[in-house]
Amino acid sequence: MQIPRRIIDDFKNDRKGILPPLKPILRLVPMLFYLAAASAFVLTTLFIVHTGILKSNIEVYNAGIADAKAQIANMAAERAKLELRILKATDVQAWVEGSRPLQPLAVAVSRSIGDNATLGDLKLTRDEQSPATLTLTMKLGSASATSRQQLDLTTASIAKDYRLVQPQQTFSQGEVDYRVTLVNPAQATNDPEEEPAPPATNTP
Amino acid sequence: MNRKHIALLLIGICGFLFIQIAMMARKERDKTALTANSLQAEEIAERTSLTASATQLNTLQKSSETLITFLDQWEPLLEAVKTGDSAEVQFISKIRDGNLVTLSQRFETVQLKAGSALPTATRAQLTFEDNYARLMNWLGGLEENLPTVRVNSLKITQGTRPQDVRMELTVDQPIYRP
Repeated sequence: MQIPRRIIDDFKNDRKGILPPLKPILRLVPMLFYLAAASAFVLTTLFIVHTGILKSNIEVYNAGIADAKAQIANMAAERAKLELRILKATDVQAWVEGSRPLQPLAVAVSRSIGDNATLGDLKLTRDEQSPATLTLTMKLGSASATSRQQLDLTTASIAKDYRLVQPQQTFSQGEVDYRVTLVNPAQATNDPEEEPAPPATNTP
Repeated sequence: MNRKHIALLLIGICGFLFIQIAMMARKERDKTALTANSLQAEEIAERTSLTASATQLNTLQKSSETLITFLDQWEPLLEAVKTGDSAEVQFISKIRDGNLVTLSQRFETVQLKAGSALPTATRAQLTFEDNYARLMNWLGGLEENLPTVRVNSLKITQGTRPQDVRMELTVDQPIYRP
């Protein structure tokens, strides 16, 4: 036998302490809660994953920077070493260029002296500031008629290897005092402004 | 305010906290992204600098190749004489080998150029009186066998005997600072 619902409800006593229902608008609060929870979970996960990727990128960048800095430091050290070698090489080159042997020049002068002439003194001196430049001083003795020819022969033998600058010659009773500055041709080509000076003859 | 209101309030606070957590994660991400961008820019700058340094070094190496080869050729000769004493011994040995009549020999240390690769030199002031050919051969041998020496001055005058000449020499042997 079934008892209708309405009759059963009628048997119920009024329930004490039942709160009045909330306003319908407040139903949004739990809905927003679930929405916030779900979106916060998704977004936080995405942000954490992205942060992890970025942190691994940072490690790569840091390693790249350290590597580049190390290579730059190595190159700077290599460059400093090379510059030091260049400075040394420049010093050595300057020394070697200024140390051209004098013996061949002395021999050339001696060999140029003919039978009718004598070589009194011969002096070769390097310039202190420019060692590639030499000063030649010599005293030639010969009959006055041949002294000029002898001097021409001697200067011609010197001019094969050197450029003669500012020659000074003094003829006196068959003797010739001759002084000339000798410039290394290699050095002379580096100094285009310096032209050979005309011979200065001082005949008393 | 009843219990339902309190429950709603708690739920609201929890939702707000969730949003805050997400915002904090975002803030951390942004901060990390900023650092990453800055480091990326720095890395690019360093790489650019590295490329420039490599180019400069390469250019310098190419431009100085001849000079460095020159130094490589001469350095062993210069390094053979490391001290003033060894330079002096070298000169004395050459004079003895020449068996020339030596009138005087004097050695001193001279300053060349401070701070250079050749800061000092041993200067020999020598005077000989002997046969002209022997003297010239000896001088030629000296300049050939000791290519790093520099004959600063050479003076040849008539000797005491008619067949002899007097040769006064000033020769510098540089002391190389490796």
